[in-house]
Amino acid sequence: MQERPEPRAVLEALARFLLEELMPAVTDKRLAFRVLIAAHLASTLAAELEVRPQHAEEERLRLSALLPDVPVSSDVRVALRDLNAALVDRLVQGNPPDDDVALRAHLRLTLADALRVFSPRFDTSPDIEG
Amino acid sequence: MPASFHDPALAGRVEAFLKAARGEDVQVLAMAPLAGGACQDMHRVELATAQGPIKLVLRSDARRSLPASIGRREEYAVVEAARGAGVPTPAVHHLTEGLVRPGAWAYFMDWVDGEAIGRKVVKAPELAAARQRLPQQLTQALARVHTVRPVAHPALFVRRLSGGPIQGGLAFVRGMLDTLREPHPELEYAFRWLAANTPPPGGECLLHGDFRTGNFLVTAEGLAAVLDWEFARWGTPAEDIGWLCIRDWRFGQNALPAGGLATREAFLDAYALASGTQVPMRALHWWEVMGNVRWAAGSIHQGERYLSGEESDLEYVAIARRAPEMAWEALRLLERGR
Repeated sequence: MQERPEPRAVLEALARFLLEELMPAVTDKRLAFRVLIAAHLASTLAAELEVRPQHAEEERLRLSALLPDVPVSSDVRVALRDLNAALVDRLVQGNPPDDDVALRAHLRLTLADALRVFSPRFDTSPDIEG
Repeated sequence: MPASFHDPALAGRVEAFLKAARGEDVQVLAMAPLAGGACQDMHRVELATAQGPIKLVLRSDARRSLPASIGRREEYAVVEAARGAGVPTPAVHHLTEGLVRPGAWAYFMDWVDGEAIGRKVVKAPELAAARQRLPQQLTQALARVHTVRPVAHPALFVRRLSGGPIQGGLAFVRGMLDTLREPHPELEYAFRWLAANTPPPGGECLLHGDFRTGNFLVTAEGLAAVLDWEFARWGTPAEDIGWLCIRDWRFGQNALPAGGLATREAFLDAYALASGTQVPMRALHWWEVMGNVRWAAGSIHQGERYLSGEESDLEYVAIARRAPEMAWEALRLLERGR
């Protein structure tokens, strides 16, 4: 089924409504702040939907390389859940994947993908203290 | 009594209570909720007394609180102990139960003027001179907090971590990670590093527990008062200093990790002068990693509580979506090694 309007457009419309129509009409400062939060959540969700399939697929590939013995579902969401749960189990049990460098690189890449969506202004350079 | 009170019934009870508590005729001139942290109920109270008008803050138990927060009753005792040690923090009065809500403890504290908003403390041009003095004043205040010891105040807290601050801290975070509903390998990785790289133990003392820019009042003269003792607990000094250095509250001043005000080295040197204790950089580094992991896990946990209906503040969802920032920072710090 073709979704019309597209989810991203709907979310952006929600964000605009909350920010431009609702917020100016709210007198309670604390409620107005939560409306602002709602608008921000709607617009970052829009950005997230756009990149999620690609990020998820890349994360799945990296995790499968780190944990080749873990059976993987064809459903990407289920696969990610199983792989991440398996990785957590290995870490908690003190039996991490052999390649620590690859593991750290994977964690960094996964976080960087999330940061690009949720915190686009966050500085991801290795040295921020100068 | 003026008609325009946010909560006239509460204002009436407060007036009656303060008349009895102070043993004099007083009148509540104004009373309104204070915008503040998501965790406690606070009201600003303007009171007419025989000596003239005074301003107080009424601070009470919230309906819901975070796992590590202490109730107002314990908090009152902590503030008294801190003031006894010479920490600049508002005087507290009239601890009582049931005034705001049945079962809720509350107390009054003196209103102190000043700026608490972190962004302003760190950036406002009119506070530039204050910022020069703050590192010394903050380390002096912290040093005094840390003179409060368990042996002298054995009943100060109901809860006490077993195994000392380091093992107790690890156990607390382990417990938090175990409650998370989704797997978080980035936090587990950082936790493994923490468990494998513990620093030399420091002495055990009172911690402020949430000592960061945003939780102290600043005027043009510098530090006016330390606020918000709800996460106070027994711990070790490096814990409070590590928390102050967390990136999330440097307000853009990334090159000044200590509260957006000083380098870590300068702050540790000032703390050594103020307290006589040289906290090793390695300990600060470890507690800063720990703080980021704790903050990330706590914010994810709060987001999950909102989505399951246990919490009702939408802000928790937004905070949870920033957890990757703290997780990133924990990994960056442990890779950087300092």
